[in-house]
Amino acid sequence: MAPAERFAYAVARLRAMSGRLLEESLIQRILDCEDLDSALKILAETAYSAWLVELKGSGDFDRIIEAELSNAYTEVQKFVPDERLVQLCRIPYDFHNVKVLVKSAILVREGGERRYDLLTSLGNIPVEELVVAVESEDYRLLPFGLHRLLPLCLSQWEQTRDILQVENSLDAGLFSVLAEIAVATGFDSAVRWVKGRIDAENIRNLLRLKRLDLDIAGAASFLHEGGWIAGEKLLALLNEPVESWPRVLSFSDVSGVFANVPDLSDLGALIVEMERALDEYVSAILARAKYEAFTPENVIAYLWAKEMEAKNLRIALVAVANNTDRTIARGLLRHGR
Amino acid sequence: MPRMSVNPNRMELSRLKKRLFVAKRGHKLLKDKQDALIKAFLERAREGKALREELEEELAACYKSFLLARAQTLPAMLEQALMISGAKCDLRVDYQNVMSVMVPVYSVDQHGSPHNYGLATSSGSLDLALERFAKLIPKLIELAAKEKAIRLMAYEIEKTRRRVNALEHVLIPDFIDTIRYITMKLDEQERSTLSRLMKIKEIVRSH
Repeated sequence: MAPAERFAYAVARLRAMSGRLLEESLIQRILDCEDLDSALKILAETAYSAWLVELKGSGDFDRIIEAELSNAYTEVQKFVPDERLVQLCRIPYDFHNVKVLVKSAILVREGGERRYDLLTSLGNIPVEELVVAVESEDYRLLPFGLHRLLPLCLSQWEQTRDILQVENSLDAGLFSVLAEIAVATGFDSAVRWVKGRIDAENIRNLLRLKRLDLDIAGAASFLHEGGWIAGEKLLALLNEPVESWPRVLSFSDVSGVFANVPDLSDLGALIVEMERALDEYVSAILARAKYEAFTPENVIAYLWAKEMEAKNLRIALVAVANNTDRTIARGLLRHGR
Repeated sequence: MPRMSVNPNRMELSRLKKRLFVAKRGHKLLKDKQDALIKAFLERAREGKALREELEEELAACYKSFLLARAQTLPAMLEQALMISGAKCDLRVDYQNVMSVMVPVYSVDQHGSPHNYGLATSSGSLDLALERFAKLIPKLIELAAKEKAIRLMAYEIEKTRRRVNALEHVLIPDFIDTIRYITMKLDEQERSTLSRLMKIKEIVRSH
């Protein structure tokens, strides 16, 4: 375990880097732009300017968002005393890459094409290593339990031909690895954050399943263990109307999220609203880090803020590029930096 | 008016009269078919327009909700979620005879669920967008069938109109002119025969 004092330098660097995070007012300015070119001009005043030269066309803005996020991860990984904190934030991208590879392998067997263009460099495992491992079917050296999970998923597909089951196994693997790493760091804040994330993910999934009218037996495979709220309690929510969920969950912190959502009757609108509110709940878990100089949660707080920044920027740029209603886009923006 | 090049005899006259009768009957039938086709065409065109306007509105709403999903996720993650589809559409084509136009009637059968992806790396907006698109597919197919029928009927109306015009302005007037020509020729022949006979009778009487 890295002693907390070792984080003094890292936290100081992170404080300096936090100053370069995009202000909410800048996102609002981007949203007020009439076209994408003017939005990119505003972006040229920020840290994103370094990647603007690589832009092939104005519609290619996702590339610069990804490049800046990847740069932030690489930068932080260089000076952070415990790399596992960065790994925690990058793991979802590893699992995304694994899903692309598994689906590509399935598509190739069915006469389709590989979609390696969907692989992202944001993960912990280099894309080339992952591709070689899958192509050569040599999974032994893959980290994060993927050496077991990958062949399991492929055999699951062979037996069931059900991609949803395969994806559920990978999602379960993702959250169990997140919990394992958080515990291994020995930092309470990391464990709290991961537990909060799992709760948020479970609530989000439950709302989606409730709308799809799935029964308890079917919904169980979509929920993940390791959060503050037990699986049985969450599953019982499916039999309750959404309006009473805050009351049933009142013992947990996540119940406060429902207070920020005005209308619980329209499930479709609620899901969109709740996704934003749950992201803000996950941000709030680490809010205390601002006032502590030596705590490791500053690392996660910065990286999570960077993730939210990327999300906000993407929402703003997509709204400008497609000339959609800016009020809807403003409603999707995540706050709580 | 140009007339047909025919031998002016009684046989040809009777043949042309028969053809004129058939042409007039055909013209009436084709005219009736054209009127009925135009009526059916206008009906379908009105329905098609209303359906297209309704669908364009719905499609815009679908794209808007898809845009919400796209705005909140990495594009690669969105595409990854949609790499393997769980839903299948079986399309069957039957044909219906409308005024001798074989109009296609499509019936679509959707199996499976469009939600065939993990929930961790996809957003809830994607569920909503896909559901909307899935609901829209039967209507899109219906619109395709309607517009195909409208196109086929428009082509058939055009073809019938050309036939009616050809009968009305070319064939029937030609027949009438030719019949008049043959009748005149035959009358002329009859008159000349009569005058020749009278002349011969006069010569015979004078001797």
